[in-house]
Amino acid sequence: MNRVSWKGKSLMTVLALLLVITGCSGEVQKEGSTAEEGGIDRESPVLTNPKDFKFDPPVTVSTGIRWSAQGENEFKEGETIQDNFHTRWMSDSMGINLTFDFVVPNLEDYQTKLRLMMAGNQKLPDVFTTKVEMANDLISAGKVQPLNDYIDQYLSDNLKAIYEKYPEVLYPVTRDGQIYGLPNMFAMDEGTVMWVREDWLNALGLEAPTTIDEMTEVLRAFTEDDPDGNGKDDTLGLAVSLKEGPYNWMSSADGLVGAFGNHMPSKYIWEYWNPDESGQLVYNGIQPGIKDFLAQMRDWMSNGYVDPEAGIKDAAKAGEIAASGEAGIIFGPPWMDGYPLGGVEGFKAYPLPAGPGGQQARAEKSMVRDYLVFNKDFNNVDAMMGYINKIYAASFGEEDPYFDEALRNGWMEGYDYVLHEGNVYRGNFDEHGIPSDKWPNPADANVTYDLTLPFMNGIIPFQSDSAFQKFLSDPDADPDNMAEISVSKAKPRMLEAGIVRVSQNDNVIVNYFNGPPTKTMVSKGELLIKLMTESYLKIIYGDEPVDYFDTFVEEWKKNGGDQMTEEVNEWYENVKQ
Amino acid sequence: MTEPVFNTDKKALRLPTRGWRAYLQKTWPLHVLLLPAVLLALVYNYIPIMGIVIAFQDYKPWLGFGGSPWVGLDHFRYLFEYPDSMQIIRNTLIIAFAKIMTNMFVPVIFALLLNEIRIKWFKRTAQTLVYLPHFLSWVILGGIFVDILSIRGGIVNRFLGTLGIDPIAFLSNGDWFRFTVIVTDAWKDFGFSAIIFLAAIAGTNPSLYEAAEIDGANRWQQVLHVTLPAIAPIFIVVATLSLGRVLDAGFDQIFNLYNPLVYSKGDIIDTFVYRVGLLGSQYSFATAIGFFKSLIGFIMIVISYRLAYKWAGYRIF
Repeated sequence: MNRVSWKGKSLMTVLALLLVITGCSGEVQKEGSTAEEGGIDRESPVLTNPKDFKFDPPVTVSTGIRWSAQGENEFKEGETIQDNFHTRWMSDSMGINLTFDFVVPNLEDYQTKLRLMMAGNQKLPDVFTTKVEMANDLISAGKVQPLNDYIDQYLSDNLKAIYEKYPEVLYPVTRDGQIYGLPNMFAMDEGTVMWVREDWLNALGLEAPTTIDEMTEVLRAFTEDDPDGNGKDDTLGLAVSLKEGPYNWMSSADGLVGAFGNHMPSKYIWEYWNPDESGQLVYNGIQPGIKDFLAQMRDWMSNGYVDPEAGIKDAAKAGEIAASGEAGIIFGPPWMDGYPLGGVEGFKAYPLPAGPGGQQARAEKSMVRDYLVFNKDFNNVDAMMGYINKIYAASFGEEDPYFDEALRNGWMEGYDYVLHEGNVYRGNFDEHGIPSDKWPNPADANVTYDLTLPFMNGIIPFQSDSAFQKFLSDPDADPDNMAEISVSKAKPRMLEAGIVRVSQNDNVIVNYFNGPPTKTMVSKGELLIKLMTESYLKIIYGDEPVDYFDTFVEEWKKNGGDQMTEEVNEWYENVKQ
Repeated sequence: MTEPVFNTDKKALRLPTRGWRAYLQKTWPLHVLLLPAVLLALVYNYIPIMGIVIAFQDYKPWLGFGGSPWVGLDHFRYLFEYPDSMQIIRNTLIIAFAKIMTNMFVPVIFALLLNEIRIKWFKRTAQTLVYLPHFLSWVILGGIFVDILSIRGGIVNRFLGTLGIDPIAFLSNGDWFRFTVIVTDAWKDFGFSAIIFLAAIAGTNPSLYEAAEIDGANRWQQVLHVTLPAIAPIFIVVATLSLGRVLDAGFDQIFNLYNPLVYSKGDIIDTFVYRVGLLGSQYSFATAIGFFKSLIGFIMIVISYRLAYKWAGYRIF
């Protein structure tokens, strides 16, 4: 045989092999069948005995989790994420055996894992959390089951009341009135406050600004009057990140945008949308108030009051000059007390300044972290509902019908707290004279163990608001629920900042659109966001006149913005009833 | 141990005369040795090529390759009809081409210079120091360069200030941004890329230098007529391979350095795809872009390979 035919033969072998393999992967399942109701053919102990229900024989629930050790004191010796005090509590007290299909270290791996399982048509875990985009895919694929009946029958009334209070948290997982997921909510304690160098104010004999005009004067003084008294021209007024638009997770300018109207641009096309007078949702980034904000920033920038590199720095980078003592004002959440401002004693939290006509507002972030969804083939949903009720009851307090005594002071005695002579202690065990064998870690008096909850965090939005004043007045006060326990650990300056934040809770900018991205969002969203961030910075940096804003708005509308607005309102009409 | 695998018998070393069967009989151990590499390439490089079909589909993971609807060239059309796409492709080509040029010539020049150094410890230290940046991630370098190149007290602008030059906005002026991207990329990688040229220089036959010296060549002439021809083949290989990356302008670097102020001069295909990808899992679009880039890269490699053969008479394979 000559060389050519040998080549031809091997090529054919390869092709045949490829065909075999394609044939295999070609066996993909048909369009996902509609989820069947997981029927429960037994009497549910959750209904007969809400406080102390126990499944006998025990039920098994599989899940997947994203978890990685944050420090060396994550678990006690011999405990793991798969087998720890919490999973044992679940099986011992409720008869729910938890198994883990996979444990991965970060969100990206978690999403990939689930996507692969979906693509390979493998069995998904019984119950697991997922971000809204993937929840959307899972629902479309018919992989998860509707929960309406279970919510009606089993979910605690207190939790249902929360969903009624914030109905929008369920919109993204609702299809034709069927609810496919339960939201894990945020505590909503991250609203922006204004951090100002109080020592600089005192040194220059100034008051903290309450309006934008007063702020201009303070920024000028911070920049030009040598507030740190070292005789060098090395300070400036405002540290801020404008690279990804004015709203960011810290070093934000949302408190300044809010001084010019109740509209907030963001780097994501799906926020912020809120209703105008006619009730139609409008895109916030093109509203006239933004133009005034840009004009003000441009003015400050040209005078050198603002970090000249605000446009190229992300939030963490922008915070550095506040942390190094070069900038006098920075906006961001109360937790900036610890990072990045932990090393600068002089910073103190103040309310956001008011703009023309007393207008003042901040952006409020989305209320939902992710959703808990239930595999369409999973039959023990009632057990999970009972467990979820108990976790939330720990937040609602002892009045809740599902309140479990075991969770009164924390997740577990000897882990996150210690009971000693009738008192509860959560740290400094040696100072309180507690014998070391009772410490969570007998080798270290300050170690307590946090818990990574496998399904729901049990957090209720805004529940901690009242706790800030309580623990500022009396650091040793007794916390009444899980939210208060977490606030009780905060330092005084952060508690003060929390109080400042709560004082401005009445005027927040909320995003009304939280459905899946619309068609035009997917095809044109990137273009529109790029156009917006570019135009904003060109105006702030003086590359274009302020009136360029009007050109930008025209362009924005023409390039798909109008169409997107229509789609968003179509969605809004559907969910609003 | 068993007997040696290779037959050193004189008869077996003769070229095969009785067809491939006899040939195989004698050389099968070599084929067995090659097998794992072929299998690896097949499993990890060739079979996944089938995934390209999703570039022509509206791919949904739960529908699979078989069930996702076909959309023809829609994703490619989208890339080219996008209002910004010409700008993005132009930026990509300019930055990538400039990087290929600098990354080819700077390491060669550095290798030649280093080769002339006689002090061994200095030579070794210098070589180690310049290739270290290769191992730093752009996430870290991005933060460092924002500080170093700051217009407010950055070390570079302070130095320029002492020369009486006004601060330069390296990262927020479009033209300077391109310059910065190209120079910092060369800085990061020239030491590492020089290793291959240093190896080629070290492999030059010393007798050639001796002969040149006897013929009265000075050092410069030696470089020109001995060293350069010696490393020319390696240079052509590197050049040919790097032309395949003509649409790779360096995602990590640009992503960590760019900002809206320089979009018009610094936004590249990969950063664009990243931003589009933020809006959900657009597998098909990403695959289409990847396919497009590979296709262009493949064409460039074929062309440059032909040119290398035509002009330099050099063949890799």
